[in-house]
Amino acid sequence: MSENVLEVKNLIVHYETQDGVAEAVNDVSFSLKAGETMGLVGETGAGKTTVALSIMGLLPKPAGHIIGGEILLDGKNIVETSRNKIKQRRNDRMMRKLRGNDISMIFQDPMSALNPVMPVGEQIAEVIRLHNKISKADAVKRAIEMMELVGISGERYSYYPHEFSGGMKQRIVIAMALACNPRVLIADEPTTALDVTIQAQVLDLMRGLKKKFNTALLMITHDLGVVAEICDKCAVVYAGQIVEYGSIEHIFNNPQHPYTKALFNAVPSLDKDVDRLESISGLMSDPMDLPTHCTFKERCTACCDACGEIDPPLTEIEPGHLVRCYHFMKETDKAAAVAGKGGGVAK
Amino acid sequence: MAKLYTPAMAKIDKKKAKLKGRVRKSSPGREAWKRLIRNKLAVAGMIILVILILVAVFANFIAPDGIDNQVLKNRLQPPSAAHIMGTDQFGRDIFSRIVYGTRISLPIGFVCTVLAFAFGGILGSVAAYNGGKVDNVIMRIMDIFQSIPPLLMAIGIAASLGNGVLNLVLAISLSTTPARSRVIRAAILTVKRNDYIESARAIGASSRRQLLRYMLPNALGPIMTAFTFSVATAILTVSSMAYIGLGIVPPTPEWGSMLSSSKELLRQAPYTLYFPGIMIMITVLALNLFGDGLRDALDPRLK
Amino acid sequence: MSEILQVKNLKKYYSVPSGTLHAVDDVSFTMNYGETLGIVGESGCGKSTLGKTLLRLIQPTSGEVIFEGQDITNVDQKGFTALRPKMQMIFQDPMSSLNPRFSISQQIAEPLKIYKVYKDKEQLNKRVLELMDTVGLARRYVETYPHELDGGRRQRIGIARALALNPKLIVCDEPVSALDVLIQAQILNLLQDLQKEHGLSYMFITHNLSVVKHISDNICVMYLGQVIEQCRTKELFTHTYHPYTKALLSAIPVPSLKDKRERVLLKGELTSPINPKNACRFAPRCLYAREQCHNSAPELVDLGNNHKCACHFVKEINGL
Repeated sequence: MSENVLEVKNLIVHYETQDGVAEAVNDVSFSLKAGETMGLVGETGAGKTTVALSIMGLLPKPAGHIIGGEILLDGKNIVETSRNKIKQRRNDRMMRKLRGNDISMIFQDPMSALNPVMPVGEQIAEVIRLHNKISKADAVKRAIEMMELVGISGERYSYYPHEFSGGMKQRIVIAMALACNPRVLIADEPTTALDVTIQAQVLDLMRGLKKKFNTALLMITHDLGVVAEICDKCAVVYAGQIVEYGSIEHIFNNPQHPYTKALFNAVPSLDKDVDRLESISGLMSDPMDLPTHCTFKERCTACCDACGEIDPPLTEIEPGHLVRCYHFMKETDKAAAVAGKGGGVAK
Repeated sequence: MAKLYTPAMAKIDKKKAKLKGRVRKSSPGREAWKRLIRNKLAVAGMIILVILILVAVFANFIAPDGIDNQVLKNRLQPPSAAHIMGTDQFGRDIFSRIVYGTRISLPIGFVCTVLAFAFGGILGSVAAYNGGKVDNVIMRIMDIFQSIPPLLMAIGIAASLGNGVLNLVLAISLSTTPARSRVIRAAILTVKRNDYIESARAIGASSRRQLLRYMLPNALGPIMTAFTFSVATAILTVSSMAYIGLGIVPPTPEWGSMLSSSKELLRQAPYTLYFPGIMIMITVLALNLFGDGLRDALDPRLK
Repeated sequence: MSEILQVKNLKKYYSVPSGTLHAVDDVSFTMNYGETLGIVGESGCGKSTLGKTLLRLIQPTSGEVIFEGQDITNVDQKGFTALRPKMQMIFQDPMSSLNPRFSISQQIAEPLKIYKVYKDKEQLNKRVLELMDTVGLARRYVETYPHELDGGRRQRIGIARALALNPKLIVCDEPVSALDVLIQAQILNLLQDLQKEHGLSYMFITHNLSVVKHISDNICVMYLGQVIEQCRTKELFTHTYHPYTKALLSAIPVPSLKDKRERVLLKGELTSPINPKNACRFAPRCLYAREQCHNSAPELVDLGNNHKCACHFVKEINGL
């Protein structure tokens, strides 16, 4: 069995602001092997980006805090939950070394990731020189190689970002992210700002590069179509929790959680003709004011009394396919939860 | 898994419990106010300003003496119980003159700024709304006037019109109009780019309505901030001009002119300079603190 | 008379430093009462400009727009004020298209106030609440402000405001692009319900082919300012003729693992139509491009079944 490159265990992230505490991520766990791609799917505000930023050590300060859990990169924990300033600083220093070298991130807006007054080639070379002790000439050579790899002619080494179109800029950002051959690449909605034909090109490129570099890829998106294109497994996130987790065959061929089903039904299909889209009412709960127990119960069509009384755990319904829903809990767990109610639950 | 309960959440819960039952309704203005009163420095500035305004309103109750009550035998007395800020070379109570001074500096600073923003506002918003040639013509003329330092222009205008409060106000407001028109033009241009202006056109709003109901209210943030800073500048200008003997003339207790008339006494009776100087400083500082707070409160992106 | 809108040879050119930008170039189509016309294309293809030109938020360079039998191209601004209530618009970004200083009731009342529909304030308020019910906004939000609401609710405000004056035609400019899928489905359903109820005609501008397939009766596919394919929706999805439309269709990521379509990857990216040559504008990216494509511009030709396509080799490519 190959080793997990990235492992997230029981991650809990809160944003503490003057208006309240937003429980952005509540107990998220997943793992990624080398060369594997996982999709993190959910609506705006589900906590997808917060998971990514936690892994990168880039949570917005001073509001964002990792309250609990572990993030293991090659088996080594990179999270500092203590509020001790010295420990925090030490962790920050370590993360600076890791970022760009071992873990990289691609953002939705390529413009924000590029320095507008520096030629793109130099920006790639700089990243390489920052993490490797190589001569400038070698770094330039490597940067040109990277550009060619993402389909941009090396002759455009000294062009500035504004001379490229959106899709091209995203290619450069990808080249930059992969320049140091990171173990983990996090892509946060990398194609959302692009047109469909360009999106297809970029996805195609990412698929090829992932294979070539054997990078573990965490793909954050709201588009189930993108997941089907590029991912091996998929986690559906709702209100900061993973509600369904499994291989894409599990999720796409046999979705079980009511929320996952709702997501599939809400997308207008190209193949089928439907008069009306099925949509569930309501909105995702405000992370400042999450309902207790099942967070989806208010919008759920299968909601029953027990949903308001029991915290459903992620339950394995077939090997590798986990669902967080009362209706899929094992009878023994249900009984245990009912028995434990009143005394065992903290709030 | 049980829900995690952190100390920070407990604190917030307490706050929530306290607010429970109150109706929460928050317009953008109300939210800005909330942010403003959270800013300690801005609140300090605001309190000082309120005190200054109260002093101006109730000057005749606060001041123990008149503004020009010359008692020559009491000349140049240092601060004492009878004259808490001492007396000047004519034996006038400095404290009383300072108190009455608020009735000069604050209103003149305010009126000058209002006028400058009115003139500048009309020019700037017409230029910004119409754009193109109109914008070009108006703004190039403003550029020409802006190439003259405002203080110099004010001195020039005041000198040609002669002394007097009205002339002073005209001089200061006219000399600062070009700069204010730029502020307002920039603010409106920023707002004009928003989709809601186009959507106002789509529902048939007239130009006047677009300008008055959509552009100006949304441009108000930067305009109000600039306004506060401008009042401070205007007060300084009034004092500077009074110091060189223009605009307001003795025996009017304007702080700048008080400074001017006691400049020879620096060694002999320094307190005659301290108090008017400190008052100018405090007023301008309070306005600037308040202005800074206002800017942060009205533009949450800066946080 | 079944046409609510006829557009003939509409053009909008901008002069830019490097020449003339043909944002909308010779676009013609008709729209029927109670139907939805979908305008599809990638960013920069001129679809938004087209919508805004119809509503005269942008002045067209030339061409005719005939609304309910009346040529409105040369109507002056005053005359257009009288027409506006019949033609309304829904914008893409509901946050930036709502005045942040207006409460919800003010937003919805605004068009009614501008057109002085009600003299009585009570009637006005009643109508505002009615409109909120129509678009499914709970009445408790009446005094809230846009920044306190989520994207879906904000878009409902935009719809309520567009409906306030009982329009006949609504131009929807990417109304669901900024929304999450579940909210997108709610809004699409709402738009369909309103269409049935009020007999509205929509011009639905979007880059999303699956959405346009769901909601439209007719579709125009645009590329660099021109319509390159135009027909009934069903027809387009059963017989896709133009190489660009084919590529566009195949590029959509489908949320399914079954029957994967064969992918046609296009080379290059959309350019801007500045000083276009007399050539097919798609030719530089087209897989089938030949010399003729670079030397002459194809006409929009009816291939039968009211299916129009602008491609020199459409018959050859599709084996017609």
